[in-house]
Amino acid sequence: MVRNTIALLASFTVMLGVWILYTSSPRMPELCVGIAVAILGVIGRAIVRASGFAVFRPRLLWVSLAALEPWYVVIGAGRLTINLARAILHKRSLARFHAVPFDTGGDDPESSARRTLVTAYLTIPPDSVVVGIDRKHHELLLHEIQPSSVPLTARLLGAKP
Amino acid sequence: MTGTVWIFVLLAIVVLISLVCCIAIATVSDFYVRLHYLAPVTTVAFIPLLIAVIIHEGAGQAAIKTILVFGALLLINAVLTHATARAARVRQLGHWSVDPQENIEGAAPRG
Amino acid sequence: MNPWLLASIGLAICLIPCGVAVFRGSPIERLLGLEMAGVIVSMFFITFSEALGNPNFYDLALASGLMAFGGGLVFARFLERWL
Repeated sequence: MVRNTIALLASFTVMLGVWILYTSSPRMPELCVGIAVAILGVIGRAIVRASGFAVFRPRLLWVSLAALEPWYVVIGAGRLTINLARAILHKRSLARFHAVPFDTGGDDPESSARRTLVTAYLTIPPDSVVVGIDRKHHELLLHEIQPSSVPLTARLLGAKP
Repeated sequence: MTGTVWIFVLLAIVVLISLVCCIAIATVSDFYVRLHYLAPVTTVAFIPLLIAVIIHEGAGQAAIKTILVFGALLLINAVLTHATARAARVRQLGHWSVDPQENIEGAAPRG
Repeated sequence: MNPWLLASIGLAICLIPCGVAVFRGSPIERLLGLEMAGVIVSMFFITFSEALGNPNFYDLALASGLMAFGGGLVFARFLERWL
């Protein structure tokens, strides 16, 4: 009960904070609208959590892997440029589908968070797109612009090299 | 270089990257390769735009709003790219997972 | 002419190849053109806002990005299941 109340208060504060940041205005009408919208947001969050839909509990290490994304974006942009140059020179594209063995886990919130984060981390850089995670065959299907090794972020989230 | 020249250079980079990606979206023959050209606009081209806004307006409301738009587009683009790739596979094969007829590296043996 | 207006014109020109993509190929290929246009329009609103010195267009940038997300996702789901 106490934990839920703290979580609701925290999400209310975050939502109101984003609103204040966005409007950058200390005027009372803006603040009132922000509070009303944040209350609606908190109610929506509570309903979604109560229904058991998309329960998500990431570990701090998994979230902090987002710090590596700029590096992968730079590498991905380079690979995409190479692919573009090959296309202009009428050379064969190296793009392919790749099935990566992956510890898919179960229906628990941690496994769900792991699957969501690996999908996001591998889809944000321009050189790879996750098509899906096959829980029956324990593999992650991705399309990559050129053959490459499994990134560290994916390995730390359950992919096997 | 003055601020205006920097802004000009940064915006030229934004437009150039966007134009190349848009032309690639319209001309590249392989659908899945084309899909990759969605990402550079939000991940690469948005950074010079953000820097140009900060140079022009300072670290005020405009910069905060641009950062929020950048964050939103980054996540939105990743979700849309993933959903579109999956939809394309489902339309092509009837399911998105590895097909036994396909020769995909790393795929576990089927049936 | 200020650089922001030039960038706005450049980004508006980027919508032409997106339009070409929307009018060609299979439905899923057309969707790609629509998704790209959504991102470009968001960026256009930012540069146009700076060009006109009117910060209200920033809200349009965020709104158009979020609406492009909704639209793109609905189209992707429809194309996957029913169309």
